[in-house]
Amino acid sequence: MTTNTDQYLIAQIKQGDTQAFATLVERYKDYVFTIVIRVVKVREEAEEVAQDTFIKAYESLESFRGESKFSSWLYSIAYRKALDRVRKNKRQQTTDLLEEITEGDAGNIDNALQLMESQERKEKIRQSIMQLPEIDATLITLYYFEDQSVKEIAQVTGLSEDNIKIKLYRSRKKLFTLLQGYIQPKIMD
Amino acid sequence: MDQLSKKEEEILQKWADEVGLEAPSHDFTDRIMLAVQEKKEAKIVYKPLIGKSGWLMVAAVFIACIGLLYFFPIAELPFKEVLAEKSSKLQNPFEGFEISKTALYSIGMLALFLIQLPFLKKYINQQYS
Repeated sequence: MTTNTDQYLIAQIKQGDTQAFATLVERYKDYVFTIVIRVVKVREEAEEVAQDTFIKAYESLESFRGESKFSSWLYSIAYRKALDRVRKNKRQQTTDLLEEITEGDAGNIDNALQLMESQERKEKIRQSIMQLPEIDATLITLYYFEDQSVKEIAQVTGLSEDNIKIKLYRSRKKLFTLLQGYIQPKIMD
Repeated sequence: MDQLSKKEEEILQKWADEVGLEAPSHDFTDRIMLAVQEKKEAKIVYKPLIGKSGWLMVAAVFIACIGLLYFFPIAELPFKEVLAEKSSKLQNPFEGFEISKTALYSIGMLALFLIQLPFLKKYINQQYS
């Protein structure tokens, strides 16, 4: 039997082995932190919220029955906590973005990005995602960065699968639009 | 439309792979474990009201009573008559006590209200948790 699966570690924690929880934190901290920072947008706050997420998960581990994957359960806590924080700060963004991106545009944006230095390119993409409204940033993060299926995203966000597909499509458009705005000067050079 | 989506999807996936995940500060895990440890220590350990030895005592007394009854049945007890006399003198303290219908209804309503309390408390706790 493998001694490293989430299920095994959870069983260990329930028996009082807190060290097993450290292994889980190490395994998921980057994933949780990425979701949270994409929603709350501020690094210091994201650290706090991510920390609260793990502590809440530890406290409610007894109620986790393994009906969904542990990761989905954990991410849903992270997502809800991050949204709570944003609501508390009343910093909700209302960005109205035009979604007029064509196939050629997507290619052009990519070409322009390829001309940049790797570090600069990463920074531009990162900044653009940060500019996205909370839900769009979350969907992009879960789907592309954390390889979650639409079904798993539905469990995390509580949205229907059809709704997620539509939103994901729009989020993608918004991201391309934002990136286009960022690199426009570059294209004109 | 589908093709456009597919190309966008490929490009986005490429970007995501390149950018990767964000990482929290290096002492992130340590801070969580510290908090978890504190929570664990602060947790109240509940002890059962009647412990193992308590239950053993109860069982012993119960078995002793049954045993006594078995070996010395009441019908053969020497002080049977005394017992019968004493019990016939006992009176129901509520004999002749009457209660009006209105009072009965109000007691019933109060009972209903008290029964509701735990459910209400549970419901409200769920709302705020």
